[in-house]
Amino acid sequence: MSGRQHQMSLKNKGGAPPWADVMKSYFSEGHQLFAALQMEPSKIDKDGVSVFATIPDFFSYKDGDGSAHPGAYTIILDTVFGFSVFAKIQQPKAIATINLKTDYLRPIEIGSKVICSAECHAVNGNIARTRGDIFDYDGRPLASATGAFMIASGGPDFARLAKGRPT
Amino acid sequence: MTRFANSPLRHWLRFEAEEAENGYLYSITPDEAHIGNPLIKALHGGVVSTFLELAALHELRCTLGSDADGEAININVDYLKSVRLSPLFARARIAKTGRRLVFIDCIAWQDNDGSPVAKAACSIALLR
Repeated sequence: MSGRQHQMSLKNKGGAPPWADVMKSYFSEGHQLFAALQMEPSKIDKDGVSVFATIPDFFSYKDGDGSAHPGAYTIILDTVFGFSVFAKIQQPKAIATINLKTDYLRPIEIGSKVICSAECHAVNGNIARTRGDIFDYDGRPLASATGAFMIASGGPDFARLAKGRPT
Repeated sequence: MTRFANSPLRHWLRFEAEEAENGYLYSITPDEAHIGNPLIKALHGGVVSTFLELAALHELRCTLGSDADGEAININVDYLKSVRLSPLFARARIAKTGRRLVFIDCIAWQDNDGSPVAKAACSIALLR
């Protein structure tokens, strides 16, 4: 849980865009789930988002077995997909997952470190489409997914979050 | 009866499986640790997906016997409504059991079962 504060500063050296504050607030305000997964962004731009994560021990679901429930993949993918939509539209709007289809390619052990790369490849009206993968540090694919998101028409909510809680 | 009966994941979600007259009723009791969107205090989509997959696996073992084990191949979840921080219920229905594959549909609701908040289709490979 250490080093949470500096994470979002990377890649935003030359004057952070406003939507970057949104994600910064997400990671630095002690979001319990993201903290548990030790999510650390490594790249955030229109072309895609990459986030490191570690599979937490509470994903253990079989006796005497170090394997993690693959639901951990869906949590990471849904999160990173959301960020890829923010990065694409570059506006702090409220979004909601419409659907998420995840293929499990390989099981994973508790405590493993993974990287999730995703992009928002299409925005049609208020519907955004995303696709992405999770790899282990050896580059082996663990899961791949596609998602659809609804972008709220109003949505000053996230801007308020970033503003209301200075980081 | 299931291998994940007392697993850390089950505790984290506060997952319960209760036998009712028309099959198992599954539930989780979410708290702050499961929030995806802190503004509207909505449950994280991945948490919903994990719950429905656990329910599907439980249903598989209850139907095919506790020896049966499977590994999910994929899961497709539709989010029909945002899920609030209150108990979430689900039922799972086996759509098809084959020799190697089982297809399970799940539906989740909060206030009443006529108002679903999420549904999932899960494909599971049987490990024999």
